Amino acid sequence: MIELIGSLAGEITGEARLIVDIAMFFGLLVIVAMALNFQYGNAGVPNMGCAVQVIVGAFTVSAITMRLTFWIVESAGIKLLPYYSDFDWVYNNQINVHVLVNPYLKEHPMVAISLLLFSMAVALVLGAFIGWLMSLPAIRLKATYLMIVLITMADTSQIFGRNIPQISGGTLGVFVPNVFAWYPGDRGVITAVITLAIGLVAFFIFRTMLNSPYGRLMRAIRENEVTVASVGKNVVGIRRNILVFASGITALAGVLNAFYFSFVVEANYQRAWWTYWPWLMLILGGPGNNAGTFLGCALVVAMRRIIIYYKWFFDQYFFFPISYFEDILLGTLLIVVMIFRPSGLIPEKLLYIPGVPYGRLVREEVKVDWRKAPRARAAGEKPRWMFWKR
Amino acid sequence: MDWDPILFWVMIAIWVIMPTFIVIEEIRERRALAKDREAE
Repeated sequence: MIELIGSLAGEITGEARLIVDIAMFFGLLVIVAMALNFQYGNAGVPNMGCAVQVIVGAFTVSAITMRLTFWIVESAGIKLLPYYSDFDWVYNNQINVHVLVNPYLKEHPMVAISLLLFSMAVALVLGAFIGWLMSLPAIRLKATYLMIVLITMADTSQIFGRNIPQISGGTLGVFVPNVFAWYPGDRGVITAVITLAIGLVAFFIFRTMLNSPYGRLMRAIRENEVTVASVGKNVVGIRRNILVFASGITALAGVLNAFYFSFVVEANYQRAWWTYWPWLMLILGGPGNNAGTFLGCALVVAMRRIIIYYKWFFDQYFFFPISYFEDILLGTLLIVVMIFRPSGLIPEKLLYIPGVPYGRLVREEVKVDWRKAPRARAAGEKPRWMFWKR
Repeated sequence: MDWDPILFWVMIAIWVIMPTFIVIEEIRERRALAKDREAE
């Protein structure tokens, strides 16, 4: 039976490779987009620095996990080429990783799996720490200024990676150990399965949080933070917690991306890729609801991967290089969605809490005509919005 | 044993389960909200 099912997929090449690729990037970007939906869609924190958190995850692998792996391999008695100076770290990296470390990890699957778990745990902590660090100067700012500060931080993190070779090999990048070396088949498939599984777990975590009283508090802050502050809630603290929590989850995408490519270079973590595309997914699908985020993510990822995969086919129809088409598509889609569907393909709905008549508590459809209200009061007529006097 | 095809279908299964669950939940919540509104 297994053989029969297996024969349907066959070897992971051609169309099957495209499917694996789409699934992998869907898994990665859905983690980022869901975290963004958690921050912006539900709490109104416009995080334009998603790239910072992703890059922290990738740098965790290249700067910390790799050194730990080298130390483990050397402790096992395998002599590695020198890697202490900047030059050695970059130029001996390929031999150290591919010739000496990967065969060791192939023989020791438990070590490899432990390294994967270690990377994710450290990335969670460091991502959360970076979120906290980002929130220090920025969280009290108004939305526009907060966005500008976070964009700047995303660029700064890339500059660190570019200029300090010990982090990720500078502009040349470094190969990272293949933690799936023990797996006999295609590394892409197992990475995609793990990424999608983590995306699924992240979805349930965010869903649980959004359905909790804390989630309702987040929505209240998004709607009117002054009102929430006036009833004694610590708005700045709550916004900081949201940024810290979502940053930790976003950093996981960086770790998985690094292991998928087995390579880390700062140029892979540009803000267009890891900030603007997730924002497009969120705006296209509709902020404030998970279904919209998923739809936006699926549409954009599929579209991008198909453009890349069939670029030779598309190339003949354009007078400019096809690589520009992606950026043009990003801009065009954003403009079209903002004009024709400002609330996204699946607009946000009222919060549904089983057992609580939320619709009766929140009168969102109350329209107040302020020009008529004083006259109505003077005439002894009760305006429509004064429902408690009916 | 060749694990790639099995993992490939596991991947497809996770990929299908996630949106299906979300769509079902979304439809259920929208229906419940509409019912609440009618009851009002």
